Amino acid sequence: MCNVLLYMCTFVYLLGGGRRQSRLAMDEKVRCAILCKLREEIGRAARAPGIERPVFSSGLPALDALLPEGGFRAGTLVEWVIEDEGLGAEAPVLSAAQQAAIGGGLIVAVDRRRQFYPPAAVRWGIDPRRLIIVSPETWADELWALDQSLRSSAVRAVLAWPDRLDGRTYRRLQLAAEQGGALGLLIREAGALRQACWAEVRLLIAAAEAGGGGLPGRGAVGGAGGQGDRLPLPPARRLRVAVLRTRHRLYGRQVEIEVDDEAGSLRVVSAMGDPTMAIGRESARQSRP
Amino acid sequence: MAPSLVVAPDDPSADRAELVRWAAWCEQFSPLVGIASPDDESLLLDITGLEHLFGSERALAEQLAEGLRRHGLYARLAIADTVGAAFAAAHSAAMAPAAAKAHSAAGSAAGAVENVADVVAGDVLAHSNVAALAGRWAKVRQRSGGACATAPLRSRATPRRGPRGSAACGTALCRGEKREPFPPSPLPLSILPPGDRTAVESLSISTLRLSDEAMALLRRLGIERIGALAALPRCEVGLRLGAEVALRLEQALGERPEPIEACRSAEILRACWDADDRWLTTGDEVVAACERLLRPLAERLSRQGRGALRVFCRLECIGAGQGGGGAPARQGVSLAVGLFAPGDSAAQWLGLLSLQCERLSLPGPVARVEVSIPLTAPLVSQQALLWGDRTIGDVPRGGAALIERLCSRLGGRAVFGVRLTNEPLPENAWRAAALTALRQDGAGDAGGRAVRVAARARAIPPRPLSLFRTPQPVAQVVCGPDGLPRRFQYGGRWRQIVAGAGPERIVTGWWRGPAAARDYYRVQTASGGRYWLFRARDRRWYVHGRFD
Repeated sequence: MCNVLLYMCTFVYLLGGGRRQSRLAMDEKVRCAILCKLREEIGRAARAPGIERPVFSSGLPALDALLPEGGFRAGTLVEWVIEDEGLGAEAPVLSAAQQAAIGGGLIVAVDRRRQFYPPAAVRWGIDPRRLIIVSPETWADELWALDQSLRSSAVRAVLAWPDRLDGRTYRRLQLAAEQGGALGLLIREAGALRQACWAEVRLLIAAAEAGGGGLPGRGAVGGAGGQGDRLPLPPARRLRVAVLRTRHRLYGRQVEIEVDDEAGSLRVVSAMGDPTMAIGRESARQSRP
Repeated sequence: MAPSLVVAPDDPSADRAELVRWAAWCEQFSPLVGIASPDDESLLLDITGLEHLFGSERALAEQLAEGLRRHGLYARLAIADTVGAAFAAAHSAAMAPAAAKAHSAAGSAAGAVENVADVVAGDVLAHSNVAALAGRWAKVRQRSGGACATAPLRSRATPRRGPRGSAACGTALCRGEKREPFPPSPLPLSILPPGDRTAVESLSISTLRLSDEAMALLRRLGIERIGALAALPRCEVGLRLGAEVALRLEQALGERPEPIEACRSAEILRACWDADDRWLTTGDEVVAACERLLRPLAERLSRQGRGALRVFCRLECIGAGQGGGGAPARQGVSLAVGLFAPGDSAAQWLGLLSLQCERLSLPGPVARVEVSIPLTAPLVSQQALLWGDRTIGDVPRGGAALIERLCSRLGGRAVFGVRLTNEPLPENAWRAAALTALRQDGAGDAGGRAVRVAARARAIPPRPLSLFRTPQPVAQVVCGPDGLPRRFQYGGRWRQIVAGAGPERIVTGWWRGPAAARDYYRVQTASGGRYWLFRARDRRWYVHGRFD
């Protein structure tokens, strides 16, 4: 712990008044290395002591490779920001939930919208016998149900669609997840990018290209009155999953995946290392806690 | 078609409770009455050595049937040497004509459709002026070590398939109405001669209490009668046709014992507390009063080896107005707690009640507290596991506590499991399954069934992960010359369709309620979003879901 405090002091020193003098003396690479090490140390120190939770795969090895721990650690929150509706972006979330529930345990879906459709989730590997749906009436009840579900040791994954989460609420959910060991999967709309995120990992899912799945973009199909020929629906859609940030670290690496609605399967198309899209968007929109 | 037909929602708990009540009534004929497994629809009576009390076995059966008839119930009875044989004889299709004739004689207040369904199922109907009542009755005589059983009466509102694959009727149970007695009719009684194996072997295999899979296998092999099955080498029946087939066959033939588990209607435990001079004004005081009442009840239940599945608490509050005799008016407030698994811990019940008390606003001080435990079940003990958590069914034990807490605070309707169905209509392709206050026994092959239904769910075309409970009308749709949608207005903006698949026609039968005929299209918009549109019978377009 003393080691961590020392690093933290160094961190403050680097960002504070001593930064100007140090910058001259210190090589840029060394500075980055120290900062990375500090983040990791702080991250380890901030984790609940004494409990070593397992790490679950996301179901996509290429995405796992982008995550610092090789997957999602149990007892943490993962925020999935979805750029637009109907993209098929919840499929990777369900895949992560299914991976977390391998070997037993419950999956709880806290769905105040009352739109979650279990027969479709079954296609993505969710066992209906281990699925519990909670449909609270109010935001307070939704939060309470989320808290209780994350706090239960029998739950492996909690799916939720919260429309607002402030820092205090995040902290409450984070503590609950740490206590129970469930993986909290929070699905949020694009507006959440303007809000602070306390989750262990924040991911952004967007359509890989206009029209999706190799279809022509807007205007290519259909005339002014929309009377043109319609193309057959391809079975798979391409999505870009960007790891916007992990705990105490900005990322921006992304992977392109294909969501096959027909087969109920996910496939990695390519892993990309272009950080400009994600980091640029993230840094412009969010204020870090 | 049948305007007088009353349809009630399926309530397995209420059905079971009604069955248990009739089992208690049957105890006047036999000291051992049980419920047949796994159909949970028939009562079994052990009449070993009792015939002399009634004159003969036939006289006993006639008195039983007459007693039931006076209550408006018309049952099918069978007497045999074994439980399996009695069950098979009671459910044998050979008795269907008798049942049909009896029903015809009884009148036809219920719809003709139900009559047909009941005859197919071989059920026996009760006459009433509002509804039909289905029940199956089996009565067993065991000559050695005797057990005998009588059957349950259960009611359902939704048609479903019985364990033998026969279509069971959708009926509603009529309770409390004044019913006309049945007119005299031939007694639907089947008595298999003692020791006569050929009588059992002549019965259909569909009466053997086999699963649908086992039945399908036997039918594929051309085995229709129990005798044909019994003629096969016994050592190969279990290996080739499954242990279930061998078990049921041997039980029917008396080669394997089948004890009757006594079914006794548990008394409803109650306790109440009246405030003499000091009313309760805070939630903590109410909880403390409940604790004083519940602890003795928990001890009583624990001594019986039973646990509560449902706990009620009723508070009588002093209102502002005046009641009868000038006394202050009293207003009742009810709290109900459902448990996932039987529990005998007062602390557990109180914890769940406290969750409700936190959200409760009392109309006045509490003058009376009454607690009752209307639903109990045997306690299930499970040895601690060296590795892994103990489970209740498919749910870890910790999950049961979570479910109880969620249900207690949010209400049982807000917390539910998932039961997939074979219904074609998307909104009916699953149903919310209550998680608390349910008996876990008699689940039968529920796990296997869930797996099969899930496999069927994967076989159909893709379904959206977000389905609107009520299809949302599309304000405007622009269709191409082929009649297929090209653009549609939804959510306040126009969406250009760039690709689509369909139609997938989903039609429901008239017997499933208001008929629906929908042509579903999966469409992708220019922004990449996929939606599930359909055109209804009235030619209007709706958005039913999103492929999120």
